[in-house]
Amino acid sequence: MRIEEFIHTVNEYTIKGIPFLFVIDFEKEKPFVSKIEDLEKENVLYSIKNKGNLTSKRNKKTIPLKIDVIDKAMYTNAFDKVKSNIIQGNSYLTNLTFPTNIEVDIHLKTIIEKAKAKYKIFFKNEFISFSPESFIQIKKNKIYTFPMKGTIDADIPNAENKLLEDKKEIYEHNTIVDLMRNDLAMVATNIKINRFRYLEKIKTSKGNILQASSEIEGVLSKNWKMNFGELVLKLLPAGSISGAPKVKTVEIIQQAEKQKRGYYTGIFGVFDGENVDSAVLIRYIENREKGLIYQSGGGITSQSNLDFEYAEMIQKIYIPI
Amino acid sequence: MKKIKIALIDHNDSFTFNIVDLLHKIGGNKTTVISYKDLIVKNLVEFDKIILSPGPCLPNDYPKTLEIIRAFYKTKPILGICLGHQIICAYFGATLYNLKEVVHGINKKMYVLEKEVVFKNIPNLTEVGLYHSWAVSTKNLPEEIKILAVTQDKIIMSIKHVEYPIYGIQFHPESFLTTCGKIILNNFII
Repeated sequence: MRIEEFIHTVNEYTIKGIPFLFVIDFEKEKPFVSKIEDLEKENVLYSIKNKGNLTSKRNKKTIPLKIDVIDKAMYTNAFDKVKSNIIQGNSYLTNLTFPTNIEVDIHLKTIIEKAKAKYKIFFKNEFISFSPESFIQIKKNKIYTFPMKGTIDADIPNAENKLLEDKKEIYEHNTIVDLMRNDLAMVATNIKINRFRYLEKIKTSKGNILQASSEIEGVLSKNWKMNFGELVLKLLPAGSISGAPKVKTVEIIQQAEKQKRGYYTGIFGVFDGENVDSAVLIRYIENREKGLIYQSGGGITSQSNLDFEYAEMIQKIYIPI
Repeated sequence: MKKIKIALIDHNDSFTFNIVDLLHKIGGNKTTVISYKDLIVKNLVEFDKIILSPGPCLPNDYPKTLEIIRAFYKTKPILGICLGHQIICAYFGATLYNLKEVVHGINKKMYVLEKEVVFKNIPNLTEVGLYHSWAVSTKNLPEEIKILAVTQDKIIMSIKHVEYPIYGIQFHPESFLTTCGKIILNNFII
């Protein structure tokens, strides 16, 4: 589907109050939209906060995952490129990600049924995402976003304080909050920060992790439904998975990563006839010709340490149970 | 009351709309965002005041903004923020240097030395949000430029032209990290 057609269809459905699901890739090249009632036919399953056409088959049994991470030298090369751009003043924060080859014995559909996450999607056997991260929510005439920045192993002693007091994490979170305030201000007014750096615990197959998020709010015009398609596209790519300033930073990402991200770090969402809820497509497994890949990464700032960032990218390769 | 017409020049930045939101909260102004690629300098004649946004890269990457200062510094109040501040200083001949330790998303204490217009009703010591890897050097600072505020480690935080209402601020008044951002912007636009 072309982007113009996407905008047109989304606006039509929103105005008419027809529930639909939408997916947009990082490059905005292959957007998808479908009425909720047609999803089965499209081979798309989803659940948002346990609602949707995807049935959960949860049990506590972990899913063994064999991973083959990208070469450290390759990562180092990209990391150095990003860091020098930051020092030169071309970016304040750049999200650097890579695919990791993984092997797992069960089908993608079985993984997504078992995975525990606020936002889950199975997309035509092309990819699955079990994302903890909200992108935007629209309730009545208000828009909310919940940027997530900062992760720590929850099982280490004093994890909560360690995360909250870490300078690099504070600065990075500050940057993402200013960036997302800006992005909401592109489509809304009277921007407010409702919650700053609140923590959530996530159980994974490798143990527990803590994640820090903030909640930002803005007021939409009363007739936001008239051009919801344009509104969503204005906010993309999402700040938390690109960086700031966005335009220049996306250029730096493309130079460093040297490949398209596809649906990874794009978004998916649902309009239920009245309101919108959506997620950033992270914690993501893609079905490629040569096998499965898991995409992950993190925010690089002037304070970032190579070994730490490389470890964080690997730490994020997990299936939440 | 007639609304003040403000041209906000956007240097491909991701904080520009935080400025828009703040100006909206202040009220009494009609702000037009002009992205750098669409900027036609002579068309700015119709505006009362000009704000130069933050942004990536360096002053010489934005020749049209340098041209704005040349064309209007004697006739229109101009406020430059971060990169905008650096462009103003570069236009008048100041030099920039790359900070040993870049500061992105950091808040620091700022000391106000001169309570010129933009710092009216601002405490002598106030918290500001910073996103910069370059700063204006105090060495060989042109005579037309007066320092209004600095950080504890003596980095220039704000300047004014000695004769005209041309202001530069290195920190980000639109950041949630800056305590008095709204008052500072309000001081510039009233």
